[in-house]
Amino acid sequence: MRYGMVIDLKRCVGCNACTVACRAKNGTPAGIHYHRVEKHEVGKYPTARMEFRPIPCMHCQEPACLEVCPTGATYKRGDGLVLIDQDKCIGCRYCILACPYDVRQSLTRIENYFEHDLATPYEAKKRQDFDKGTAVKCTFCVDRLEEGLMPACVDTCPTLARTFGDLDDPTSEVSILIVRNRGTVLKEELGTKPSVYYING
Amino acid sequence: MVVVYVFLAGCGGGVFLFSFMLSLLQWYEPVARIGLVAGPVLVAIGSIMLIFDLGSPARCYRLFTTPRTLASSWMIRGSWILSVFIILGLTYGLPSFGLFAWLPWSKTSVTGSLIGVAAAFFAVFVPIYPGLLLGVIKSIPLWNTPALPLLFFLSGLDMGVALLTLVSAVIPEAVGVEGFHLLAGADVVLIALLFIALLAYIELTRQRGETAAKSVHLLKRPLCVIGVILFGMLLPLALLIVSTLASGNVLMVPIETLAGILVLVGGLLLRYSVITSGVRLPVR
Repeated sequence: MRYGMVIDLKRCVGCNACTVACRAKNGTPAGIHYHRVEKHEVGKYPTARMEFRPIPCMHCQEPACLEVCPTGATYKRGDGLVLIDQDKCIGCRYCILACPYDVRQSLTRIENYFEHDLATPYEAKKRQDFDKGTAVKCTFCVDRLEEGLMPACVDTCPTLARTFGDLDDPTSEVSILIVRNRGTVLKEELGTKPSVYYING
Repeated sequence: MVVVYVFLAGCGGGVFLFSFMLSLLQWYEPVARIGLVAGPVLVAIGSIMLIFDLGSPARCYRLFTTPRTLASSWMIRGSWILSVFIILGLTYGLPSFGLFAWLPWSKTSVTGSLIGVAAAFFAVFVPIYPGLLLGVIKSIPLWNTPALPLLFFLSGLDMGVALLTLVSAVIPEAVGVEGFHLLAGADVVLIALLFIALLAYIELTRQRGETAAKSVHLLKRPLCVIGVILFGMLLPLALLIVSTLASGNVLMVPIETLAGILVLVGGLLLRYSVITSGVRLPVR
C-alpha cells in the first residue's frame, strides 16, 4: 500500500480551491501554506500558455527531509506517508532547507488572520494542533484517510484534476492514469522518488 | 546566527589543531596552551548559541537520544563530533593551567597524549562539518559540492593561525621573532591555498547551470568580493609578506596582528557570503 496522487495539468485551471480547502481543513496559521500552486508560462508565441502546477508534499519514498532529520521527528509510515512527530521536532529547520520541493515550513510565529490577539473559535481550536518552533507540512490529510475520506484538496477540486489512491495497486485509478498518460514526477534526478505524479504537462 | 556559529566552529577547530601541533613539538608552550583551551571554548560558545536558535531549544537533548539518525543526518553527526571535541579538547588542554594542574594527567603523560590525539582527530572535522551539512542539500547547487567542506577546512586552519597570532601578540616574548615568522609563513601559505580554492570554487560553480550561476552572481556582490577577497585574503597576505621581510622591526607585531584580525573578519564574511548566496533550484 503506497498512497499517491496524480494531478492532471490540463485540467488544473489554477483556481487554488485546493490551497484554500487545505487551509480550511488544517486551520493553518497565517503565513503557513501546506499547499501551493505554481504558475509558469510554457511554450513560445503563438502557442504560449499558462501552466498551473499544484504542489503538495510529495511524500517521497526516499525523502530528503527524513535523511537530514537529527531526532527522527520526520518519519515514514508503511503506507508511504511521510509525517512529522511534533513532540520530537527541535526546530533545527534542516529539513526545510533539504526539501527540494520547498513544501515544509517552520512555525516560528503562530498568528491569526484577523485581529492579532483575537482568534476566531475555529482558529482557537485548531491552534492546539500547532507546536511553536516545529516544522510542519502537508500530511495527505492523514486523519481524513483514516476515516476513509479523500484528502481535502482532492475532494474539492472543481475540475477533477486530482486523483488519489494506492500506487502499489496496478488496477487503481492512479496507477492506470500514470501508465496511460506517462506520468512524471518533479526533480526525478534528485532520487527522492515522489508519490505525486503529474500528467498532461 | 548560523554564520556566527559556523565561524566559531572554524576558528575553534583550526586554533586547536595548530596549538596541538605546537604542543607536540613543545614550541611556544604559553601560546599553545591558550589555543588548546580557546578552541573547545569557542566551539562551545557557538553550540550554545545554536541551541538557543532552535525552534524548540528545550528539546535539544533529543540530539543525543536518537543515535540511529547518525546513519543519515549530518546535523546529528555534527552535534556528536562537536560535543566529543569540546570534552576531549578541554580535558587535554586544561591541565596545563595552574587552576587545573591537580588533574591526574598532563599533556605529556600517556593518557594525556591519547586524549590529545583523539581531540585532534575530532578537531579536523569541526571546521569541515558545516560544509558537509550544507553540502548534502541537493537543491542548492552552490552548496552541493565537495569543494565546500574543503573551503571551510582551509579557512578554518587559516583562522586558527590568525587567532594564534593574536594570542601571541598579547604575550610576544613567549613566541619571539622566529615564532612570528612561523605564524606569518603558515598564514601566507594558507591564504594562498584558500585564495586558489575559492577562485576555483566560484568558477566551477558558475559553470554548473543557471541556478548555480545566480548564486555566483550573488557571491560576487561588493560586500563579499571586497570583504572576503580584498580585506580577508589579499590585504593580510600583503601585510604578512611585508612583516616577514621587515624582520625584527618593531612594527612586525602590530602588522601581523592586523593581518590576523583581517583574516578572521574575512573568514566570517566568507561564511556569510556562501550561506546567504545559496539559491534554490526551481521546483519545475
